[in-house]
Amino acid sequence: MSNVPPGLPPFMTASPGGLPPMNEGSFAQSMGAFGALLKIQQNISERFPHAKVPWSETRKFLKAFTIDAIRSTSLYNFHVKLFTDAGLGSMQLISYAPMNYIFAVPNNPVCNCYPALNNQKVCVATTDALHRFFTEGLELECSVEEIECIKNGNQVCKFKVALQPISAYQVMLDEHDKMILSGIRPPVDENGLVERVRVLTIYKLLDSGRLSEIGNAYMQFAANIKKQEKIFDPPWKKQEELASIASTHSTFGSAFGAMTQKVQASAPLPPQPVNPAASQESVRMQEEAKKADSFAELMAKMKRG
Amino acid sequence: MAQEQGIAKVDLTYIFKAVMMGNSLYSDNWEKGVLYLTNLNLWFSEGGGWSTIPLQNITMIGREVTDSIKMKAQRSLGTSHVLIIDYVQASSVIQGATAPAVALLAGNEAVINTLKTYLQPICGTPVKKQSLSDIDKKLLYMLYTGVNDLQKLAFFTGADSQTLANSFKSLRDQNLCDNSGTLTEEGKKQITEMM
Repeated sequence: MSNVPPGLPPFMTASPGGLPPMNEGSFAQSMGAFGALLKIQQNISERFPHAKVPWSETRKFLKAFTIDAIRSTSLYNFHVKLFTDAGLGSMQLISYAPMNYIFAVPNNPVCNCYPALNNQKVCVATTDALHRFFTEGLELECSVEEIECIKNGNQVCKFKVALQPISAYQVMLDEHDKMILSGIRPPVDENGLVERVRVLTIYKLLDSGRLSEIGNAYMQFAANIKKQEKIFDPPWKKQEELASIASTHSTFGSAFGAMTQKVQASAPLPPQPVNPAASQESVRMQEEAKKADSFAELMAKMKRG
Repeated sequence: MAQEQGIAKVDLTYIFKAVMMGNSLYSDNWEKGVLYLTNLNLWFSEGGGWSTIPLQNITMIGREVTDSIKMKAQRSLGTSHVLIIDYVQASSVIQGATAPAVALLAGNEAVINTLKTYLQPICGTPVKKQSLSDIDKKLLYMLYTGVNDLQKLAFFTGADSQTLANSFKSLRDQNLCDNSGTLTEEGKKQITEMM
């Protein structure tokens, strides 16, 4: 193995000049575009491993049957924020059929990463990110396809996510649903039962109140395949708690103190060597922070200290 | 001829000409070096010189990396993030003809994914389908549980009839099931291992 590069490659030592070979977009744009794409991918690598969602939340998403109902789920809002924060643009659900979702991204920033390309679909980064989020974050196997692209002359970029039914059933059906499919009445009230039967009918597992052929085949299959549900907090729980603290405190100082306590309580630090003097000082400052009602007051106390 | 100009420079580990048969990798001569991406070529530092893959010679970027390749890369390099580049080069046997070749790039996840997503629209995208092995596994499960109706299989796996037919043929050729879809002893053993 050689670790030392052999000087500059020949193209860098040749005389400069000449026109860029691609139809549109300067080389400066192309270089900047590669950097922008790298930044998006770094964001994805950082954020997506922490975007695992418990089945209990995915069920609410799968059991919502109108665009408005889907948009009001916590999972959908988390999904939109995750993609926006990663630099993938403002994604919106625009069309829905059971197990099929079409998302649109107006002014898709990913399109800007290909200044030299036109008349083709280019948003591989978004397609891959959607596939990763659904398969890794939600444990839903699916296929993702870009169906329209701004770079291909369309108004917005559109992506179709088609869930694999067997995988969707595994996540969506809870113990009560499985009882219904087994012909046993689950311990739920009448309205709950009617709603569950409606969901199972929409997903073709029941037909006129009876187990459909699909339902029968699935139960046959499911009896042999045990996939364990993992119970954990959704990734947005801490953010919701912090937002709730912020809304219940009248000043920044008191909200900040409460948030610090919350974050410290939920993420214990590994034991570290402690400087006794610094530790005492830090304890004193924490106590002051709890007592202070505003950030200005806390600052004044710290200065005096 | 257009002027060649650089777009990106990245530090990577790679095998410029990997020996692959199907999905199996037989090379382990990873080289740590520099990759330059230009508007015309990929430049790889190799020993004391440079090797290039013209972008127009690339036939496919980012085909599926199998678990065995990921494991090999993890063992050799400490990373499982690998990009497969299929390209054609001048044949060393027949003058004027081309021969297929494969380059493997390994490195930081974000860098590998950026190269993949940047190059795919320019150079060609692999057919975006679920991998056959994935369908094979699902089909084997379904057959094991006694579901063998084509319509139901297509519904559950989300695969079209042709893909299912190919998958069924693959299972049968591997002696995992017989013509009627009944699992052989080998097929049952495979299921037990998978579960």
